[in-house]
Amino acid sequence: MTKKGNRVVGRPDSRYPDIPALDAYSREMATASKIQQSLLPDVPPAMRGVRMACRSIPAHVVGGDYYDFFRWDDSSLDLVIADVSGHNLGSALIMVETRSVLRAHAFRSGNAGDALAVLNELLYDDLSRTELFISMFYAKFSSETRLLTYANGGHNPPLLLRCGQPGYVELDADGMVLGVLKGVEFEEKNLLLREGDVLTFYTDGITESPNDSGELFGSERLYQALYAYRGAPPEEIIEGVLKRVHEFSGQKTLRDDVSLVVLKID
Amino acid sequence: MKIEVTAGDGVSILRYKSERLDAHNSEVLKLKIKELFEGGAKNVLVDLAEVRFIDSSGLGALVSGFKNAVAYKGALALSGFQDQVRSMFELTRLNRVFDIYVSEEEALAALTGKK
Repeated sequence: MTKKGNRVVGRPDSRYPDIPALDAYSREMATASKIQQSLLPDVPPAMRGVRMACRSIPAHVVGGDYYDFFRWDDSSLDLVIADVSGHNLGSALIMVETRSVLRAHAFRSGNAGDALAVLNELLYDDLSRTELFISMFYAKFSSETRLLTYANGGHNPPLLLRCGQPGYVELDADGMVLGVLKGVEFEEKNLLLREGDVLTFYTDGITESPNDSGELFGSERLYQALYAYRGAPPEEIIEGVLKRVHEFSGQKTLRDDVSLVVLKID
Repeated sequence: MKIEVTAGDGVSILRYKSERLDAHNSEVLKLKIKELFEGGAKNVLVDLAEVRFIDSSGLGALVSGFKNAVAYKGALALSGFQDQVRSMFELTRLNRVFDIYVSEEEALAALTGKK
């Protein structure tokens, strides 16, 4: 297994340690896995006024989780996190298509709600044919004004921990998962972030990770983990959350893909 | 995992008899719903009373059923949501797409009344 940036790549190595002995199918899948992982940003872009970290771990060789950053200038960026239903090769192919559509369109000027509405229209036919759907959260952030605007397409609402305050805020907005209905409107909301705030985007592999008795990790435990590590840099917050998820589930291999993006406002 | 299918009074009832509806078993449900619509069923009710956990693959099977219902000019209703299932439908807003009933009995009363 090799380390690239802050993320582990080449995941299938542990499962298929003897590369020459792999059959053709496994070799192809290992290649697909490597390519898919390389499409996710290793590290978030550097920006004034905010520190960020990200991580994605597929449950199988390939998966349907996706996150991305679109940095427009020194102080503004778009952040997207998404989860294609299922976690197999089909989900992975749609994840790659979603990334291409997002990158080609570059929603710099539009608002977050419009970005999701346009994506829903563009991806609808392919998602219908493949019988898949996508949950996606789209955020625009200016580190100069600290204004966050966001829209939600049925994705797990990110958790905001306000500096110096207990409890958390879930960032939700009205919308729907992409690929189910055409002509969906997505509400856009605004929020002013403050110095020391910790904002965590995640996929449901975290909160739906089960323990031996079938109980799920849930957003309350995620909050407790974030609260415990809130003083640490974003990379360590991610490590801390993943450690707690593994301890809770007692499993080495996760059942679902998990992804995390943590922002800490300076 | 077992699926019971009962047809009668204009509604085909599909009882999903398993605690989990996920990547391992959602394909069977998806095909079963499709088969019913292809076979001419107009009203299909999927009862999920035994399901304690649904994931995105499970939701995907029901979304596929919804699209088949539209394609065949039929209707797909759901009943018997437990907590985790209900919260997944609320999170994804798929609760706005489906007719959802508390129980099979309530669903049948509504669906047969609609006829």
